Amino acid sequence: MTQDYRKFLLPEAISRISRLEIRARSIVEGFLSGLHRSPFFGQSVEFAQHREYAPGDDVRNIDWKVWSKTDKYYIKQYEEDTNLRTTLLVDVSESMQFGTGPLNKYEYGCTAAAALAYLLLKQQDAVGLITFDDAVRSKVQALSKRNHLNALLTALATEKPAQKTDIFDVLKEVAETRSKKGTIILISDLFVNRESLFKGLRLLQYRGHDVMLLHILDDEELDFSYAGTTRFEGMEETGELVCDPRSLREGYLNAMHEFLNEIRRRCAKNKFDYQTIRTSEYLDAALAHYLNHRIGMQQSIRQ
Amino acid sequence: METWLTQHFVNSTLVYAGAMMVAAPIIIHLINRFQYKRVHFAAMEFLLQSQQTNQRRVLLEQLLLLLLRILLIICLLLLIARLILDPNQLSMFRGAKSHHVIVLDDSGSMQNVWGEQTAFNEGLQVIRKIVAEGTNRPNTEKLSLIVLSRADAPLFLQRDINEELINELDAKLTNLACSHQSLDLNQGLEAAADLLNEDRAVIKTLHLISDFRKSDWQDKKGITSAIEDLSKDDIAINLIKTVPDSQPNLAITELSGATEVAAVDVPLSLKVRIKNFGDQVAENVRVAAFVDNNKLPMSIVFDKIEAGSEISQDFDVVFNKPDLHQVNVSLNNDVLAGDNERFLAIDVKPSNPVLIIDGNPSGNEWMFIQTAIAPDISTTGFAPSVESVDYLRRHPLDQFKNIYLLNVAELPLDAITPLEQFVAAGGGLIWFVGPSIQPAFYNDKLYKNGNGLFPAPLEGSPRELPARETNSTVDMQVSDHPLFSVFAGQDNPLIEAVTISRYFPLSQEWLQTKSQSASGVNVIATLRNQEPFIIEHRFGKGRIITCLTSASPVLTNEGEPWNSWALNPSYIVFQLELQKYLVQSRSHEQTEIVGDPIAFSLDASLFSDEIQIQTPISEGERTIRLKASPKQVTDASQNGSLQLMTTYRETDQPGVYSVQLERQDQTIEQKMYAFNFPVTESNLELIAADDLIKQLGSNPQIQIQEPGEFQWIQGQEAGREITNTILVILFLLLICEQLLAYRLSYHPKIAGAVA
Repeated sequence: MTQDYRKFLLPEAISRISRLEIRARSIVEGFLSGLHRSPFFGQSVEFAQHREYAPGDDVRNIDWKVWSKTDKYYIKQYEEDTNLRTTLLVDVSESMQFGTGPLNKYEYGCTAAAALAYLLLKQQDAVGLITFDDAVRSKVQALSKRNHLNALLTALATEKPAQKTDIFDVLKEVAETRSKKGTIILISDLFVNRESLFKGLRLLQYRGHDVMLLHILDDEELDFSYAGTTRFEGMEETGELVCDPRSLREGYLNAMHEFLNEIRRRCAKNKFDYQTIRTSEYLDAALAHYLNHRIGMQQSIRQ
Repeated sequence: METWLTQHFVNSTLVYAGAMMVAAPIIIHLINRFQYKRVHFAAMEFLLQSQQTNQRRVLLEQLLLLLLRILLIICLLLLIARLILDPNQLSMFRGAKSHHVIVLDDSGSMQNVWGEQTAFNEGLQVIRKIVAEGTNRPNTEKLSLIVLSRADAPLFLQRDINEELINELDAKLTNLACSHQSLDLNQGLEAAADLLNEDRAVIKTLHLISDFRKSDWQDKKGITSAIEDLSKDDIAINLIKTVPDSQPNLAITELSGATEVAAVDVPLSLKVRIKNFGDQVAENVRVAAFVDNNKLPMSIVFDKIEAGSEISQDFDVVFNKPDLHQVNVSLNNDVLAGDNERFLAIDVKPSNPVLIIDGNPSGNEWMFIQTAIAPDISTTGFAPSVESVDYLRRHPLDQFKNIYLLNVAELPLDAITPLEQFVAAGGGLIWFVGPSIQPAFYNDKLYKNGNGLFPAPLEGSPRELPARETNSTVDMQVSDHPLFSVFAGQDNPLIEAVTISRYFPLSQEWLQTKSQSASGVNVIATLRNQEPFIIEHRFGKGRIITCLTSASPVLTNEGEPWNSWALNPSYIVFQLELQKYLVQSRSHEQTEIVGDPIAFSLDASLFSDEIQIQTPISEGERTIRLKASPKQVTDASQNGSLQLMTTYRETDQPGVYSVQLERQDQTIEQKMYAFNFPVTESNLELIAADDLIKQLGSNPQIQIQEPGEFQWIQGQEAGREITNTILVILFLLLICEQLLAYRLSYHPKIAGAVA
């Protein structure tokens, strides 16, 4: 068991993550309680601003001193100093088992998830994990304990992906169980029904979650450089085909680009953060992208 | 199918293997189709989508690529197997069972020298090359070689071409010499046709090696039709020229004279005739004359011989001894040596006996004849003997050259047969009528309804020719006959002075029925009143001249002379010409052409069966002994006697052949036969290729090969154009295939991958 989860923490990846940490620190300067500032307001010691009272606001937050001076009700708002609550949503369906490099998509996705978890936990952020295929396979509550990593890795490692992905039910379940706002990082190849996917993602967005997609794809899926007569056996019961791949390459690439463009377009439209990641890229790509995203979020979401 | 393949491919056996190779791209495609690697693939959705949209295009492209690759293989196959669209260009050696019949023209004209070798040797070289090429394909080729001079006995008959044959061929060809004869190509073609028709080889080829002279080919329907027949039987015909172009040639076409009357010390006039077969004037042509191989101290010079013309000169030869002599004349060497020399064999007698029978013993007609032909024996060589009619029945007549019958009233009946035999054997007979003759006897016993010694029936009595009123006409009107060649021309004073007053007219009935034209009787001179005067007709081999007036100015009852001819100098000229003219029918020496056989038919009672023949000097003077075989002859003229018969055929070499016949009394009789190069072979003008094609028609089965070119033997030239075309097609196909294959294959971009 130990071997299983350790495989996602390859020394090379870990060292690269360490370098990332340095890089992250230089980006988020002077942030003590966490590397990331929370994009939300909440209970904290650090005052942020006043806002006029509106019915429904907690009367405990009314600043009576201001009332005494102005005879108007204002409430105090503070920086939320709580840790970032991040839920890693990892696709472990059969299609994720595909891979032609040293890591298949599943392994790459898990490694990326592990690295992110490590990074977040190191900063005392709360990290939760949900793995799924056609349904949620395992859930790990979001905690910020350093030893929480073991639980996360165990949950990743124990999965035996074999089922067909059906994403909407999964996302709906996630939305229902994750009531606290946070960041949802979906790590998947997105070979699912697009309508279901975006419907689910929008649901998460409605619930106040910040949604981020890490789209893991293998080189062959993107480049399709197969040669010679090949029998393609579809994962997840998608059929099979004997063909000369070179003759279908152009059409395939067109279809793939179409697919990626559609994802990108819809993500942009829904303000989901989206990134395609090749399994041949260094693992830190995912992390770099995540950090970039977080910096952007500081300015954009707060109101 | 096999025939078609062998006709259209040099390496036809490769076609089958190649045809299987055509299946290779299909098989490779199928193997690839079934030998695939398995890939578990996630993004099947896009792959299936691509397949759905590209299915038809992919299928078409793959089929096109497959087709291109099959075409490539086919093109390669056509190149390697060497396709030939026109089967007649194909090398004759194609790997299939084939029979090559070579007809080698070895007629005299093939001795024509071109460059350093003769046309005949060029032909031999072609044969060697054909056979050498044939050995490259063992057990498939057969050869028959027909040499035209021996068309009935092929030199090689359906022999397999192999090393053994090459050695044998080499030995035979080394010893094979070109004949001097004029040969008929048709015989060779017929022999070849017989060989080819009975053969069942897949491919039959006739190679005709000749110099293709115009005279052999122009308007020769026989040869044309023979070749057409052969080509209709699916026989490929190769006409192989051995001489590239026509060459000028001078030939001695005649050496002749009245050799039968040759006598010791009497100058014999011989005529040498030269023809210029070239297209340029020949100047200062010198002819040397030899008697018994000793050069005469003179040469005959022809200053100028126009192109295509023939001129002659006479020269005299005197023989000192009565014997057989040979005369030959020779020209300087030119391209054809055979016709630069001509031979003549002459039996020179001490004198030439002529028998004169005078019907009137008391008369003196014989005297006029004798004086005319032999004023002195040494001047004319004639030895006339005057006898009575009885001599004819008592003595053999064959010693005489000619016999005169002057004013003979009638012949003893038993004298007619010997006389007929004499003439039939080639003797000359001269009739002079006169007052004594009995027309009834002549008409009955001598005319014999056109089958006798006398040419025509006579009227019952002689007739007067009225005296001339003017000098504008002559009594004796001669025709254009060799006898009167000296009188040729108008206003001949000799003839003008001749007066004919009495003559024996021919039967009017006979004249009116025009039967003279049917019986071969030729009136060669007429009288002033257009009545026949001198008549010629033939009897057996001999000639008979009948003069319807007397031989002398015999007087009539009225005291008038029958004619004044005997007193005229023309009489002497006529008599001497008559002697020469009549003996010509006997002479055989002048007419022998090389290749003609010498047939011997000897009386067994006189000769032994041993015959010795000595060949000419140029042949090495070999002595050949022949044994004649006895044969009972039932011919009426021979009286059923036993004859010794044989034939000598090896007379190819021009020159004089001496024959010794041994008599039963151990004495030797010698004969000489001069054999000459045939004049027909001297014209070396070649038929133009265009004319030949026009004559034979543009039949693809018939190919004409130029001399000195042997590519056609290996078939190197064959199919060159189509090879080039195929190469171009192959190149284009390769480019198309590469472009299509490039288009259908995956080529990663050099930097970076597709995002």
